[in-house]
Amino acid sequence: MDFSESPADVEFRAQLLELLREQLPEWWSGLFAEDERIIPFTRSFCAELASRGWLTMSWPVEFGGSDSDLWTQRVLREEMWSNQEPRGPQYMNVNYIGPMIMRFGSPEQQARFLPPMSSGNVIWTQGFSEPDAGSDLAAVSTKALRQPDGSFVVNGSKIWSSYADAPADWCFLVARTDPDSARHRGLSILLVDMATPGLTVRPIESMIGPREFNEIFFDDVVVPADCLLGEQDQAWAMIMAGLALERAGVPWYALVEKLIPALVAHCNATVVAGETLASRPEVRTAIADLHCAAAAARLLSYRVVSEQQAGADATVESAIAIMTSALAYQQAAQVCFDVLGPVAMLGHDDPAAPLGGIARHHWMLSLASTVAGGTVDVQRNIVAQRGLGLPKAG
Amino acid sequence: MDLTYDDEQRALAQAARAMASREWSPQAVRDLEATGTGVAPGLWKSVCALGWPGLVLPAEHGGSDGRIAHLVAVLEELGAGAMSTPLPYSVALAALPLAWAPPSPARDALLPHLVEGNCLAVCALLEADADSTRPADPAPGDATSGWQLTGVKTFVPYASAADMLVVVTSLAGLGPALALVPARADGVRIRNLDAFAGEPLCEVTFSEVRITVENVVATGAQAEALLSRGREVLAVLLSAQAVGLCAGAVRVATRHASERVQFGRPIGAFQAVANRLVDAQAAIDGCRLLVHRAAWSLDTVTDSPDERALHVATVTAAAAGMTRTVVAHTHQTLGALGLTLEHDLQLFTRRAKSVEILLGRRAVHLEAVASALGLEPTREARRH
Repeated sequence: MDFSESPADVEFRAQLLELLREQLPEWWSGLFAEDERIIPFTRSFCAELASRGWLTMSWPVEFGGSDSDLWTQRVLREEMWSNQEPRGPQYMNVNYIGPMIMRFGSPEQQARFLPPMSSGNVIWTQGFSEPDAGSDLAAVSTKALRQPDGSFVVNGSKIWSSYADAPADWCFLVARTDPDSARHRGLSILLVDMATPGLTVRPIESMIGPREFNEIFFDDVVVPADCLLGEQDQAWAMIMAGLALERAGVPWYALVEKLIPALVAHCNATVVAGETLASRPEVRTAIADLHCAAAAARLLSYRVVSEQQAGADATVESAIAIMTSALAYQQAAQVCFDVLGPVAMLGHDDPAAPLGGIARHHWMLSLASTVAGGTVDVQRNIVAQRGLGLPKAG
Repeated sequence: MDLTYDDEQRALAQAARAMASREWSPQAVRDLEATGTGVAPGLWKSVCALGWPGLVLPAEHGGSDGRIAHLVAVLEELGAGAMSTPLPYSVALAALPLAWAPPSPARDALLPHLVEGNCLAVCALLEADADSTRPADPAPGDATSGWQLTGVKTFVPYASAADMLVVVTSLAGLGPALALVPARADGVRIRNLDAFAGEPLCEVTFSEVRITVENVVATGAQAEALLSRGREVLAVLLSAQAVGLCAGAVRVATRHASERVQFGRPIGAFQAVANRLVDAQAAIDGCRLLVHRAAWSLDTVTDSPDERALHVATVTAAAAGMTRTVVAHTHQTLGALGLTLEHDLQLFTRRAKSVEILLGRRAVHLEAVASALGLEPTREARRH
């Protein structure tokens, strides 16, 4: 076991921090605030990353990437997320949609869709979940009926699609192409132009803020034949294979490890009822306990990288990493309230808000952390069945 | 960065696992515990044959110059087999501090035997209050005529099996001191405490035990430093043992959850049961990595002393939390059966709990973490 960082990764992290210092505007507080400057900023930031070869560094060289090491990708992921993800919606292109197109797309599709992704110039949204199909994705019922000319006509609706209202340019859609099929059979992946007639986006208001959740309605939306990704009716196998592309998940632990020094500084400097917050036993215990949870979560995430680097599948390790990271983030959000008290409820426009008003944002986002992209309950099922060998429920 | 075992760790873990399955069993654990001696001669002979007592000791004393990370790999597997041995204590608080101490006739004569394993030394650390480590008053005497030790040390693991005691004490004229006292010296009385630990925890009573300068291996600030370093190593080794014990407990509980049928299915098919075991496993996996991170900190010079202190405090706090979670969830899974002596779970539970307690109070470790994170303890905000 070796816990040393490579000099290259140390240097890369320093360069990223320098870039973020230069580029992040002082108003930047993440994607989900009411601010028209957000999306344009994320586009220009992605272009800046692209110009340095950092946007799609994880991609193979043949697709414009630099086949960067998993450890280096981890550095990028940590610094991006702990700064509220200035890549904006396009991080999904880099991490998942682009790799799926590389893995299953035709040369024509790759030539068409990948370059805008590598130059940081296109926003995609995912159309997976439906009102009746969340954790149970196999219950998808949005239909895509094949026409004699090879095109598909899509009818149905998707829900929870982040960034659809950014507005997104394209949608990575899962739909049922075999009308006689059920469950995971007969599903296909379609690449849908969001400007197609019949397609409506309706934002959903949430505690987190705009762009987090949207509904997308498909009313006789025509999708050309050349926008079918891979084989028809084979989406399930592709999605299962695609899970291996994104084992790391969101590095919530990195947000926690950035929050802790800020909390410590605030507690050292803040006097309440004649004593510093830092001298209060319950404050010391809460922050120390949080550090232990975050330190473990980080190493569990690094274990996934190690296993992948060694060629292992890491399904169970990934589930444990995702779970512990999200739970550490929830703990962090709670610690903010425990330590800071009611002022932690104030938003970042209020001068009395501690830590720039980030506490309440962390709390709301932390409520999403254990349900987004695979709930912790699903992760626990994976660990129980594939890690501990316990029988399936029911 | 690589969080997989290197070849040496893999080989050591494999050897420990093989020994556990070949020479040890839950019945053997019970039989040894019934003797109260703490050390099964056959098992200890195998441990010595594998070179483990000297694994991390310097080659100049006959050791293997191994890393803490190597011994950690062994202790995890021993823990998983509920195999309690004196190794963590004899290595961290006896052999290593003696190896670090300046040469002296008594220490030089003893060390090779500790490395071989034909002599067992443990450290008498805790005073009668089971909290402080040095007597309130120094032992009377002087360097010319020697000193008389009178007092009590408590919760000394394996003292009743030991040949030599490394006593943490205070001597008139010298101050803090580490002194070697043979376990069978005149005036030394050792008895096993009635604790549920599964390994002997002892009270050692000193009644005017005579020692001279020859018995003293370190004094003053040096004695404090050796002890402090040794306790860091002990924290990591005991945490590794706790990880192993907890893993053993989860294995027992998982097997039960797969086999025990109620309401027409194995109880592990119910998410409420499965989820607890998953959470227990996640706590173990996290703590295991923290153990290795702390071991790496002890083995390399990359971290600063403050960073090393943070890693050691973090793993001990995590180990305490892990043990509580695992004990609670495994017993919840096993129901009444898990409380019986006939069932194997309690072999792990008692040992894990005892190790957790001997690691020290979780609150104290969390305070060490808080300090290492930079939370200033003074009530007034300091202007920087």
